[in-house]
Amino acid sequence: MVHALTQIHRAIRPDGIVVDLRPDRFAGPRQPRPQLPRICWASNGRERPQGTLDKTPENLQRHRAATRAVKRIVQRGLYRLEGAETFQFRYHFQTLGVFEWRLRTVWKDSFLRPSLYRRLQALQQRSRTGHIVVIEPVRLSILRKR
Amino acid sequence: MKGLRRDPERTELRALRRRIPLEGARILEVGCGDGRLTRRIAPLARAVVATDPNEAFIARAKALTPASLREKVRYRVAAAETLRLPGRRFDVAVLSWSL
Repeated sequence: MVHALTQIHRAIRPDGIVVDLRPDRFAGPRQPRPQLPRICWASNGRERPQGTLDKTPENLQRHRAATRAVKRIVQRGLYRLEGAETFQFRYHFQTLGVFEWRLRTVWKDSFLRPSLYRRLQALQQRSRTGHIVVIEPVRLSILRKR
Repeated sequence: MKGLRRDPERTELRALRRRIPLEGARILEVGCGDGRLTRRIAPLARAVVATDPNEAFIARAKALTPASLREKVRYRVAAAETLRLPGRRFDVAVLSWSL
């Protein structure tokens, strides 16, 4: 990761910007508990929280390593951290089947607890108009090339 | 994928636009995946080079890019660590959920 940031440093112009976009898993470097994506059931214009999308230890380790890499590269003086903000990124799944497909093919480092799966199944059977929303807090950090 | 909408509210693009000048910028996107964000930033940018190590993602990104943006966007199969790009060329590099 440090190597990647060094390569990118060469590719951008002096005073250029690097935008680091990624899930805001650990808001602070010492935050012990990760922020996990929230799973909601959306119907009639409302989102009702149902639980969280759990992540594997490997996923969490990768996020910690990325945070460390950015810190290291800033300490080396290649970039200056100019600002950051967090926003909510939403995935809208029309059915539980589409959500499961996503878990099988892309989100291989995520898993649903069986109790939450059963709850979503029941909600889908009860409501024809509702759908699943996964809300991921995403951090946008601005690094300015020195 | 039919039945999945990713950020239809466009909060990501709005956050980006609040923070950085995308208009007329030469943008390097690292980890573009299937080009979801690429297709949103390209209309504003002067040019975009979008990279991803996954060949299948790049093929899909190319297929999904509308003809109106094809002149502006170049896709490349490459990992960030092995990027070989001319120096000092880009105004902005976007690490798209790739670090």
